[in-house]
Amino acid sequence: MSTVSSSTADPRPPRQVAVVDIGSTSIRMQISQINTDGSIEKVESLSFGVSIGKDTFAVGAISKKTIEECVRVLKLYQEKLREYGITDPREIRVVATSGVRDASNGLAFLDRVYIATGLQIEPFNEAELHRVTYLGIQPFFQAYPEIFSGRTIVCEVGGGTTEALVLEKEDVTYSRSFRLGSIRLRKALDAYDAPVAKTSRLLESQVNHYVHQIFAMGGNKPARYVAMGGEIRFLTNQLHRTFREGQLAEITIQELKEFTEGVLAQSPERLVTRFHINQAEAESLGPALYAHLAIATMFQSETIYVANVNLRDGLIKEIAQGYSWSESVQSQVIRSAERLGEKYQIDSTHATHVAFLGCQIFDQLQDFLQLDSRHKLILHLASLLHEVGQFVNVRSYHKHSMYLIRNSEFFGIDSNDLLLVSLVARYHRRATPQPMHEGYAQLDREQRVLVAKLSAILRIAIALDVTRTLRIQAIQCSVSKNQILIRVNNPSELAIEHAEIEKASQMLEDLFGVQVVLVNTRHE
Amino acid sequence: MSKPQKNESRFINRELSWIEFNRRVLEQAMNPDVPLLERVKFLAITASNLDEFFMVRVGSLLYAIKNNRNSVDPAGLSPTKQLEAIRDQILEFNELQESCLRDQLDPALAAEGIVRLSAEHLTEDRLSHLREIYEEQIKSTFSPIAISNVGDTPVLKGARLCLCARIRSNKENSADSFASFVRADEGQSIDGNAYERFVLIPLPVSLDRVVFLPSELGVEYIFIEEIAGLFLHELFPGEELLEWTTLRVTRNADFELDDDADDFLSEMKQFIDTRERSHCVRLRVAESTSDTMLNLLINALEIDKRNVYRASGPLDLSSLFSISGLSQFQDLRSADWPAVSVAELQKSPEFFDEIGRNDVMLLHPYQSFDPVVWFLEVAAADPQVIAIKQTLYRTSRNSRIVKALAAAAENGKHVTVIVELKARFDEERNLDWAEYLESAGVDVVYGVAGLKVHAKLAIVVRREVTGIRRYVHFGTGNYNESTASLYSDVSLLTSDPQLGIDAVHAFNAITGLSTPQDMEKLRIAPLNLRQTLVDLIQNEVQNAKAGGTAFIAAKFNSLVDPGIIDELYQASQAGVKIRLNVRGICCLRPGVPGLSDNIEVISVIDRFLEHSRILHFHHGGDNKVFITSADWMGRNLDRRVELLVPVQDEICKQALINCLDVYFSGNVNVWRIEQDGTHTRIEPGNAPAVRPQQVLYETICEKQESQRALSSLVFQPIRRKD
Repeated sequence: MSTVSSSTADPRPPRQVAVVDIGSTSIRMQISQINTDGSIEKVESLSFGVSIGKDTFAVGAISKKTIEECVRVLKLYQEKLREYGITDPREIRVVATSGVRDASNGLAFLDRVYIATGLQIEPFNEAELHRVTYLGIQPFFQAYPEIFSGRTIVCEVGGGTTEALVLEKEDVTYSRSFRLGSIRLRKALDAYDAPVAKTSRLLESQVNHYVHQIFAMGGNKPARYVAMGGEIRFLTNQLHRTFREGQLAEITIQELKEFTEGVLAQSPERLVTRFHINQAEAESLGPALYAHLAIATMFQSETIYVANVNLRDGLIKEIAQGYSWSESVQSQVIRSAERLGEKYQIDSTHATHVAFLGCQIFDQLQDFLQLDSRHKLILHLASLLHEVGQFVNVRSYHKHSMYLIRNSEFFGIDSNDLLLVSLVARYHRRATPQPMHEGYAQLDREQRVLVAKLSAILRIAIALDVTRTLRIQAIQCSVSKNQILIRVNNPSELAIEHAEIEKASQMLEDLFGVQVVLVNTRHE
Repeated sequence: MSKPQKNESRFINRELSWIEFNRRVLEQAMNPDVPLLERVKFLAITASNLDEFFMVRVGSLLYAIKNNRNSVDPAGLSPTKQLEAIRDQILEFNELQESCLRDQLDPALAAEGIVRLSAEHLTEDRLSHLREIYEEQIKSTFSPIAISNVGDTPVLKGARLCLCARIRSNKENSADSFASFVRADEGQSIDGNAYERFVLIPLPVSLDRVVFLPSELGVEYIFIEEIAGLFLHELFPGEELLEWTTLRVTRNADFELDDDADDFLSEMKQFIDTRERSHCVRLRVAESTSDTMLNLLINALEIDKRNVYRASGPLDLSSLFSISGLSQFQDLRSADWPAVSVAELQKSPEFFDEIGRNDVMLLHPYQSFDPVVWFLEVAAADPQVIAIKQTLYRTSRNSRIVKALAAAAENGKHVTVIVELKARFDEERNLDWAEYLESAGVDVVYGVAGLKVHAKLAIVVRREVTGIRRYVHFGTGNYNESTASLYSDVSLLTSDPQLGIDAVHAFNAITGLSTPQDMEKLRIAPLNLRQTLVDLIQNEVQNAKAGGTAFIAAKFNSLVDPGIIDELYQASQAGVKIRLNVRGICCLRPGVPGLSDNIEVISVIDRFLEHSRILHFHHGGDNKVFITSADWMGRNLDRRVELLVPVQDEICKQALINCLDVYFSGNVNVWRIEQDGTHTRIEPGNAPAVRPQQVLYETICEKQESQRALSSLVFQPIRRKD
């Protein structure tokens, strides 16, 4: 999802929206209704088994047959969308996860689908997945405070990857993606043609490495384990019979162990007839459960909490919020940025204060500068991280900042937004944006303007704390004919700041043709 | 009978149990307490039931033997043993049918002025009248077929009456004979010029079997084959009619269609065609048929001697429906019970608002089926409706429901209909409907490969001010306005959001739009309906073992599935009280000490065909009540798409619990099923008579009456409009 193109939704009559999730083993569609009060109601769910993951993780590319099957399914889904009159592209989101993203012909797939159906598919990266996962489990914090009172590991085992989040109470401390997936594991089993008796041992050798990495990420300490994903939901449904959406159910590690062993002892074909599931689901059932079992065992979590939420729920929630992020998700993203800053040993007091000043300017000049409130987070993150490049070298550090930000594991921000953050940070000093600059060149016009505006604000915010003493706190910005006045009430002489503002405001002047003037009301 | 011995199965054979059911129907034909024309109807029903039994069940057993599939059934009988037992029972049954007509109904009907004439006793007047009919209506429809011991088997379509004549012929004369041009050269030479030949004369279905004659006192009628017999010799001038007889063949209808075929529609058409020419499973001939003629027929039709049944009376007693339907004898029929209309539901634009407020349950045929038709008729015209989804298994000839669906599509709604082309004996009609609906723009799905869609489900999707809302009709009976006035069934109209989502998910799964999605309330066969039943039964077992109250009351048409029966046996042994109301086949042995002491089974045969399927589990006091389209048979639980629908509304729930109770308290037209699968009619004795169907009807009438009285207490002043 791109930040630029967003808008805040006005309250309006109930409307139906849809999310299509092109996953490794199936294409699923969720149609939901967003009520006038903002609450969300499910209207219809559809699912169709496809072998995208099998193709991608075994051969590296999606076969022509699979592509055509996907097109056929999406056309059926479109018919359903027409039934509900869902035609506005803003009310339909089609996302593709690792099965498509990691395929060598992933782009060709997107094109084929677009030509056949007109549907724009967004390839979804890990960070977005983590953000949406967090959105999904968030409602449980209130409902089950005791479970989320300490450290919790949340893992979703998918076809190609396992997404892991470490929560400290309700905050995400780490989030990462591991190449541990049920289809990859099934492929390994098939490759070795492992007899049933040796299945577990073979899986153990495949899974071990990642489980240790996840354990390290979780601080090498026991923790509560929250499991997500189709297979573990299926198991819970088998045990609990009525496992409703939005519920958090408990299963014991013993139950998981017994069921997993039972499933691994049977051929997928047998599972198809026994459980009425499709072949792809049957193939991934055992390996996925095994991965959960291994992780839960590592964290010594006797009870496994299974969250009955999925990617689609989170995406629908984002549509409902008019594509703007909730406060809590924003604060998770900011915390994630702060941790990155700490890692690169920046002057965090200064950085935080620059962010504070930048956000004041943003809020007060939002209308004049024609900025969307969602862009504020980009500015905030760039403010926090603009100096990380000094960790590499003080010379041209703004370029290092850009590189580091762009290539860091970052909770909840998609790659496009991450590029915007890195560019705003890069242009906080020295050269203004040039068309040939790396990264900047790939932006469209609207995004280029956005980067320029935000960098210009960031420069002024930095200038205001040039002394790094935090002596300027509250500011009042106003716009007169051809001036932007920044009023402060400060006992000190602000000669350095005056001089700095004069230099820093050049970029804003170039953009809007207005001069920026700092006024200390105390000394008028 | 005590607990089955080691060599005795704990199951009753399903075919023999079915014959027992048909015996109960026959008992109603012999019941002097039943109005006369209703008795005639019951006799006709036993005959048409038997036809289907031979076509499907006997057909499948013969097919099994032919294909060397000799595995024994749960009762321990091989197909051959089953056929032997069936034959014994059917021979006895046929005699009972014949004596019922000859000794009871014919005399009683004659006493009321409805006289069946026989060819032997006719006045000159009558004879000349019959000749007129023969000359004008019958003769021209004949197309005789010559048969012989050798050569091709003549194609005699199943379920049609046919005459067979044995003729002595002289070569010189035969060329003039009306029937000889067909295959006159294939006769059997007797001596020199004289030889014998056989001719088949199928009676066309276009002719009514029963011919009524004007009568001063009442009604006189005669069967058409008797008229034909009177003048048959005239078909063969110059030849001698040695003998003639009537016969009727029944052909196998139990074969599966290849539903993977590329062109399913044409495959289906071919399938129907094949059935009319399939293997012959029964031959009925008149008692008087000579061995010579019978042997010829046996050879020509390639039928086993053991599948031949002689009849001492008229063949095909299902024709008696024409007599039971005589309009002028109202007093010989049960009093009319007009269907009660439900006050809350009117055919108006507010129709859905009422369902939106409360679930509405209808007990048909006591309550009118109209609201179910309106459900679709109102939806078709309602601008707020965006989509309609419906299953059609069997529907009536002039279906208003189908017309409403077509109208809805023409009005721009998204209409999807699953027309089950595999509904046995309704294939042709369903094909026509499917084509009609398609031409109106309906998205028609022709069932599911390998499964029959038996679920009764209609969904109306509306876009309202508050958003999308779904209205669902769940039923135990077909969307057939005609049978809805004859079959006892339950309809549930609801707007429960979860049932709505579940219903849509079920529908999407059936139409192949999606793999089955989680359903919170609804259960669907073949996915999880069986398991849910097992869970519910086992839950009662646990409660019984824990010393709590535990019982199951259920009503359906057939109980065959060995797995479910074993669950019930175990429940009985754990102390769960089980009361079953099974109209037809019951393979469970009730009341066997140590096996099924706590199981009681009753069966009701009355004016309405018992067809509703209602389940009640005590469930620790929660009282879980369901309606369902599924019988407790393997085919329903594993090879059909069926639904199990929870009834949650307390008023509806209580009404169904009461309904089940009424049946179990009944002592008129109620039978108790015994350990050996036979039955005993329950007699009121000194207790007040309780006829369940009548009690149910009267209760509904009283309720309507009291509602009307209540509403009349509210005065509605009439004011001038401003």
